[in-house]
Amino acid sequence: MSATSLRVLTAEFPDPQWASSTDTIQQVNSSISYWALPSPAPVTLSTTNANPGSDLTGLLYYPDLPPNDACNDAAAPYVPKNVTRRSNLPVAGYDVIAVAPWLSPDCVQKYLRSARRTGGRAFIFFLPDNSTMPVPGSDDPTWALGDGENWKRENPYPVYAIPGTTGNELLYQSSLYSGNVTDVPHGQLLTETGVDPRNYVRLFVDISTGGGTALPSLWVFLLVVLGILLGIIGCTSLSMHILQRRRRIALRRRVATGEVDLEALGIKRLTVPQEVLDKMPLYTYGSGAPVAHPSTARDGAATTPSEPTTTLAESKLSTSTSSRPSSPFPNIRPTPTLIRGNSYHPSPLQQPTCAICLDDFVPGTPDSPTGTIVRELPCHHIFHPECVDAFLRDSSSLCPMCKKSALPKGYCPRVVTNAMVRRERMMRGLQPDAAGDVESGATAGEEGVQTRRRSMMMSWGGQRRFFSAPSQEMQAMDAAGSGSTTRPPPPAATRTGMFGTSLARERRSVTQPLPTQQSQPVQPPSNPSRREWARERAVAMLGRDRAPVDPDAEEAMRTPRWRKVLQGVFPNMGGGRAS
Amino acid sequence: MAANKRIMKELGEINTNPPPGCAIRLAKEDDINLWDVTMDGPQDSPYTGGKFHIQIVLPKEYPFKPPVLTFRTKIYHPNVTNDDKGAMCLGMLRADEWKPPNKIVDVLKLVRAVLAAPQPDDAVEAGIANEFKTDRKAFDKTAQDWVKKYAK
Repeated sequence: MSATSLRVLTAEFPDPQWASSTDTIQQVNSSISYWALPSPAPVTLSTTNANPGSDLTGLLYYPDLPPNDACNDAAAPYVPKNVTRRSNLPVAGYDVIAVAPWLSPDCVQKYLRSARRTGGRAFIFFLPDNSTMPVPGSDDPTWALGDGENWKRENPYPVYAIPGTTGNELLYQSSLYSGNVTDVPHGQLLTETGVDPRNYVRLFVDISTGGGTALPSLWVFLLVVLGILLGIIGCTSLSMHILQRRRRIALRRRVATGEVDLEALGIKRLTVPQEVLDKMPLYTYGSGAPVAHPSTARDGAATTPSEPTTTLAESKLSTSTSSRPSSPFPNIRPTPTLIRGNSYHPSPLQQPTCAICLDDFVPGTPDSPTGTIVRELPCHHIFHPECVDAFLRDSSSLCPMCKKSALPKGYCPRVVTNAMVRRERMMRGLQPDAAGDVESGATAGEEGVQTRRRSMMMSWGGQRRFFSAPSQEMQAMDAAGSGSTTRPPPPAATRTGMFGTSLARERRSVTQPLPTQQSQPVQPPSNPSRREWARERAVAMLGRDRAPVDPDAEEAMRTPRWRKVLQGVFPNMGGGRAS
Repeated sequence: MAANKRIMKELGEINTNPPPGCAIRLAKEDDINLWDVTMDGPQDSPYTGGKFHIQIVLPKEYPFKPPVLTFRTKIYHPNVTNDDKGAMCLGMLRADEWKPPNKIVDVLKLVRAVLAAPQPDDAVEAGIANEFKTDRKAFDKTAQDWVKKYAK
């Protein structure tokens, strides 16, 4: 690395031969000793083994040449007699930095060799011109030694160059600080101020090689700005995460208290965990005898009054199953109040067939309890456990028949995600005008639907109207099924039982609020994406009891990756939907 | 698997007692999730005399997920998309309307009913729906032409 500055000062230090530690180089009081910060900065000729960022430091010395060498004569004008030589410094324990005049290439090579031999940590050359002019750059022919730059490689230390006057001054000062403490300038004073007379007092060189400071100031500035930005982002992210955590906890609490219905609001598609499934009644069809029943709160009454109701149920079931082919829906018992409090007795919605596999349930009798084992959901629909359990556990928490949640009230999934919090807040933020929004949503949905359907059959908008058509068609279809298209559809009242109740209920709920609402409530133009989001969601939840697809999966599908990352960092952001 | 059992059961039922105007077979012998239906155009409709080829794909999750139904024969109908997909818009086939107790036979009956009585208000083809409402004669003619052209 290039040198950025050269600093020279006077240091005192003990001889490592008798001192316990060597790292005790101390600057001598600068008012009574030499120090300098020569400018301009030294020119870097070679960077071999110069570590960026760490300063090169060492004691200044003049590398001796062999006694009879011609170069000694050439150097004589520049090298004072008493200059600090290697022999004037401790043999080991301290880094040393050589300084010498840049004479002929031959002499320079000798200096380099000498410094190599004497363990120079760096070499500072000066031009023997006694000039204050800055030295030429490192690629100047002045610095050519005619060996193809080989000297830069073979010398294991960096080489710098300084102007002649600076070099002369350094060598001169070095000659002053080469003897005992008492011999150096102000030597007497120094010993009086506590410098051990046995210590060395020598010139010490500190070459800054930049590193961090060598970066152009623009980059430093940019780095600082970047650092500040990162800090701000980190702090914001952290506080957002904390806030979001509190919101998750709050949402969990509100779900638990029943304030928020995740599924109905389309916030989260829930599934039923195994332990909840296990709590659902499992019993032999017809007999009402529990098969495996962990204790739940509501079974208190289940033990004693089973006899009469069981027989009642059986009688009903035997008739219904025997007459099944002709009338698929068993006679519904008129009053369910008798058995309502008791969970193990056929409910009003008792069905002869599992709606999932379409197999008939086989009723068991008290004598031969070999009947089908059925699972009853809280909505009193029953299925084969092997049919419904996996579905509830893996796909949906809603009864396949009536789409009512099979989860206990106040159930909250173990994991409450930030996305759920976001959706819930979104719903809540819209609640004041939710009704208006829903209406307009339905209308807007119908307008947009013609184009949307084609591209996206799953689109939520405008689905409500859809069912109205099939409901008429289903009636027509019944007629068609019996061979004549002109026959009037059977009255809806005759359609009872497992299809009838749910279908009729849905038809009613679906057909009444049809296209009459043309009133487009005045909508603030702000936040269109948020509004659109809420509209779709509202339409989706209106008129039916469940969200169409898992909102999590849906959101994961719609959210581009960069947005997911952004939401990971700033969990509060990204509330409105992109696109 | 429950789904397989159920599909086999439905297939058996539908083969012993096929819905009117429909012939059902498996598209491939070994794939019970792919049904081929040939449906006759209902009487008293512009589609009468036509034979419409409908493919039904039963998803893995059937009966929890609805079957996917596509018209392989081009048909001029407001409720069937007029592209190579031939998707039909039926309320009960939507993922959120579908219920496991619904059977394929119900779906087919519904399809036939919609052929007999198009639902222009729920159209996927707005242009056709508009023509159906405003110029019934022209609609009937085009529908019959298409039947002659594609559904023989």
